[in-house]
Amino acid sequence: MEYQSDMGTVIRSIAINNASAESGVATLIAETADRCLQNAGVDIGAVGMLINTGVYTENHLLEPASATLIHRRLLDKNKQAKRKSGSLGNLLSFDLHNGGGGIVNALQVVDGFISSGEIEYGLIVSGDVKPKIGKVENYKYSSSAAAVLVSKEKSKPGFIKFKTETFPEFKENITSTTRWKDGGLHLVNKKSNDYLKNAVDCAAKTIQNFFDEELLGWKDVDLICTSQNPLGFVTELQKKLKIKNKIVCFQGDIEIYSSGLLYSMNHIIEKEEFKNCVYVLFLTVGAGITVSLAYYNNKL
Amino acid sequence: MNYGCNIESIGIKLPDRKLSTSEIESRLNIANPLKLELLTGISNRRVCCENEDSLTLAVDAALDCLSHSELKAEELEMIISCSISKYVNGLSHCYEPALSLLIKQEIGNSKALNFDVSNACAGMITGVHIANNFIKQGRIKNCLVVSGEYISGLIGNAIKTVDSLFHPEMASLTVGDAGAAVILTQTKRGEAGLSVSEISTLGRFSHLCTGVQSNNCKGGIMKTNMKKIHDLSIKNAPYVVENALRSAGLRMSEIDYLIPHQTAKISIQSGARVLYRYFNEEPGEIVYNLCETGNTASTTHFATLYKYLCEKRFKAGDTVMLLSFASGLTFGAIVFSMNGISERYGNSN
Repeated sequence: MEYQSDMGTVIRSIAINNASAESGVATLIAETADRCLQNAGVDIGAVGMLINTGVYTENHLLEPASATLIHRRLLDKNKQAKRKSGSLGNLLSFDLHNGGGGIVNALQVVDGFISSGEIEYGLIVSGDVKPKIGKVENYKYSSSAAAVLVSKEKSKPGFIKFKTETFPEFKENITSTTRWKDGGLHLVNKKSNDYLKNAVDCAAKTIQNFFDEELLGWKDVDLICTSQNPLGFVTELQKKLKIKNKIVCFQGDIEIYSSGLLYSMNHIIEKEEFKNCVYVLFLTVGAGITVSLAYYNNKL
Repeated sequence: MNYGCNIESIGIKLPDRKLSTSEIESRLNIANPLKLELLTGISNRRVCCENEDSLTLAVDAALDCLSHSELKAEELEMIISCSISKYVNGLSHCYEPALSLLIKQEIGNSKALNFDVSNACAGMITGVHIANNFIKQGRIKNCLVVSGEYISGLIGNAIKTVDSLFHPEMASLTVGDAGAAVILTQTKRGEAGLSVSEISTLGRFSHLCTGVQSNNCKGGIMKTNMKKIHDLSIKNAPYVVENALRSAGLRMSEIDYLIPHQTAKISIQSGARVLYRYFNEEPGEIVYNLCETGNTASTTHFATLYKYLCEKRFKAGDTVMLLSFASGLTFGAIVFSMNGISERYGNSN
């Protein structure tokens, strides 16, 4: 499914954080989100939607939504946050999960509510911290968090198209489940040896389908910005696509999971690659296999 | 908004196995009976058997929904799974892939945009809120919002510890398993359908009800500060309803059916009294659907709608308000008018 957004939802601010996460994932994300809001000079009271896309919840929390814990911490940090008199407030917080690709779907949801005028600002956050409860098998991700603030902009088109495709024939390639065994809770992560290859193939196919449907080509993409995971994805994608277009992701000695795309967004903004581009294709690939694209027009 | 949005069909799945409140009470290690059935209005709840879990409940509800729909599975453009519990293959919680992907595959759809939303008992209401926005803008023509809740594991764990009505795990004794699904479709702008969808979160109170997977016992633990949540719900209910009525351009007396989140009879009655005092008038009916299913978390509103549809209670043109109170704390209201759906479930009244 893809569509064209009528008005521009643009990136206002991004923050990332791979500090120690002793106080838990919700606190780490909230600190990051607070910095993101401060960078933009926006009060939490002005945000209409807060979506958390982190895959792993704090100590296997099932309810409430982790976003509401983050919401609470943001309010604690901003005691002056304004609430309209006689109303409940205007912020809806919830979690959106789609493996490592939830960020793009969350951007799509927020773009919808911004376009319809129901909200002015959307705050999308993410983060993963190894759960402290129970045993954990094959969890290799670094503690990390990221946040992006988006809002409407009349002078820039911003996010103009989204597309997500799934390849359930590879749903067993990467899985993460809890199991009850030996009298305790185990988090079991599994990744097949084929995952990287299949992720690259699925991404290439989805991009081609997107181009075919939208009558676009590589000439219409100045930069591809992808999530870091799976490691080696960018190199293999470049080989597969055989293109000269620049493909960029966050490069570091840590493995970032659900915040990967926001780390890469932050990277291209810091390196000033973002402002020199007009058309950026944001890409995530994750469990499912699910490939999500967001096509961004950065033109003034 | 360029289009309207309509509830096109609803489906549910209830496990066959029943667990009575009297059986639960008999297993509590306390001297004086709690009179749970009297307080909650819950006589029975359904609980999963072997081979049933959150995924199977959601898939069966989605298939039931499709059986009442004019759409085929392959025509669905968006699928949002809203379960709190994401148990697959028994009590194995699935972090990834997304439950919505597994549901999509099981029902035979390949192209829909799918993702999972988690917002406690407001999950399906949040899913409908998102679908309504996408449909009314013309981004999609239809959406399946679905949830499967396998939460009866909470009961066994609570039985071991509950010693009074005020115990933090008391609310766990009221839950039951269920799956529910709703298909929303696009209509012409101005046509009868879903007119209001409003949800907000009072994040300051997110700590008042928490459910976790536990390392000490299989099936999870839920702890609730029932009194504080009840007080906040009672305090805020008039605002939620008033805002929704204002947006819909309706009076309270013009709501034919008000369906609150189904927690306990005593709580719903208390809320009804507060609303009456505030508005000085009543809706046609405040709906209880607790007796045979208990609190089925995110599925309660649509399980209740389904029951009333099957009992031929609705007629075309009836106005319904779904009122949501959930951990978070999340408050929301959805207002819609009954149209073709009441006939398709056999109502000729």
